[in-house]
Amino acid sequence: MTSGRARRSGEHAYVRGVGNTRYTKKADRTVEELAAHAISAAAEDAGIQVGEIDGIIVYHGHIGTDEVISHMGLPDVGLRAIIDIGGASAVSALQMASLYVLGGAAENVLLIRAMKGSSGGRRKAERKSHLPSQHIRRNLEYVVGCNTPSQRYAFLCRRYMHEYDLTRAHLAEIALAARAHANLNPDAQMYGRPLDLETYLSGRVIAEPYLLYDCCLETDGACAVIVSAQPGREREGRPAVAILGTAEGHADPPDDFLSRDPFLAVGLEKAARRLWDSIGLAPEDMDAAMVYDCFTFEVAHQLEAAGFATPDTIGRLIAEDGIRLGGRLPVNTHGGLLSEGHMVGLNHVVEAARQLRHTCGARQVDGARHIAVTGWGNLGDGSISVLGRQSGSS
Amino acid sequence: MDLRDVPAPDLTDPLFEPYWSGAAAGKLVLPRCATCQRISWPPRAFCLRCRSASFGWEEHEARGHLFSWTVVGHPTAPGYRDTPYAVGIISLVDPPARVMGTIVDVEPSALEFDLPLVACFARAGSDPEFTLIQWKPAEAADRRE
Repeated sequence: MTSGRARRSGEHAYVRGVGNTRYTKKADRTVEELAAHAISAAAEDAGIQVGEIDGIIVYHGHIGTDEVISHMGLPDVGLRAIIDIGGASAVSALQMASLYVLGGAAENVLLIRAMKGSSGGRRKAERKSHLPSQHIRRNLEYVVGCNTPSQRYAFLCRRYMHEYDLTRAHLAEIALAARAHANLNPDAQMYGRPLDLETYLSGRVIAEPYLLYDCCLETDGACAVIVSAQPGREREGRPAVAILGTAEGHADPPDDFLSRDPFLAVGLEKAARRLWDSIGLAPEDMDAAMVYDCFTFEVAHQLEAAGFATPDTIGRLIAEDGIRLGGRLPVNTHGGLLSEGHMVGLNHVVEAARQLRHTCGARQVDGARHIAVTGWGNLGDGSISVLGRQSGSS
Repeated sequence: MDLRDVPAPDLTDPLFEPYWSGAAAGKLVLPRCATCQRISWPPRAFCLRCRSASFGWEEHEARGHLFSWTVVGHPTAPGYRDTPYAVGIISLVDPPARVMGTIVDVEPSALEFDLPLVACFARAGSDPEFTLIQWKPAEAADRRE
């Protein structure tokens, strides 16, 4: 089933197909049905039979590999993995899947997220934590009333706003831009539900500085990405979406942010440095960025860590240069986790692929050729990938 | 705040036992690398600076400054139903040692960066009971004492 091809220098894997359900607060279908919908859509988009999927990479708490094999009736899966760095896992999976398909271990690797994250039982804060070093969480965090990502990241947010020129107005613009984009995206959970500044500012306190609308959604839905060494449907003249490079990095230390020095250093800085060095492109070459947006501040933090701004210019990028469609760097044109839905960042990969094929309709970034996608997870793990449009002639 | 529902950690975990024993005695006790003298917090198998595996636990001055904080408005943590409450990161005198703790005896809205803080010790949990280290403004503490 595998092709046994050795990886050649400069050879890329491709996002061969993408698919998703609509994102909702309460889905009538089961998680398995949602997954089946997204996987079937991705396979059709890739121009393959579902049964040709022979590798699977999943994530904690979402549908698992054996469930996918069983419910989809996959005949010969030879490779399965889970990546466990929270919201950085989806982008890191692009690296792992690229290595698999270019190394010949699999031909079509499925990345899947399917969950009833909104209606599916226990509240988010009561779900099992997949954070590293649980003994630190139990001994030093739970005992002082800190047990959610919003609370932990609020410390970083407040310190960053103290050290640099990042203000409430910038956080607001990140939330409002995401919502404006989601209102151009019929699949988004917040489609048809505009948000204005007054409403944003009146959001109840979750964990200051985070107010309600600084926080991502909880979502029922599924999305799927198929990575292959083949671009997919190239005979039909469709532009290919190449994975030009992916890198992953970890903070020092990754399992505790209090002891970091400097306090605000995160894994994405390392990953981004390695990525830009290796692909011969720079942040200025990006036509858009899909940034993991668990909370508003994390967008600003990652844009800076990935090299799109410095701590001194990040406010200007957000407020003046612009992160909305038509701005200097459109960010999260699907609405992101804040307003499209929480698919742990795999929806960011789906959106980047569609933007590069120029099929996004009202929210299309004109002439998009290169898009960066980031992941942020656990307590500061980071990943970043650059996807590029390759048309038949280029 | 009623702390009886705060979940007790495993007080016998060797990695943290001296910390909790110290707290029960009204002290802030942290591990220091026996070779390079760097405070190693949270506790590690190796000193992250010099790779030594030898640590001595010793009492640390229970004072610091407020480095960052959050005001929790939406209750999520067992034992912490009454909101708002403030959780801070406190810079201790030996950098880069920082600790996390609830900030008490002050309105959360009155907190500011670099506020001098001093530790205080509160009984928490019920099965088993244990001593929790909290932090309060040093000035208020000094006035009362």
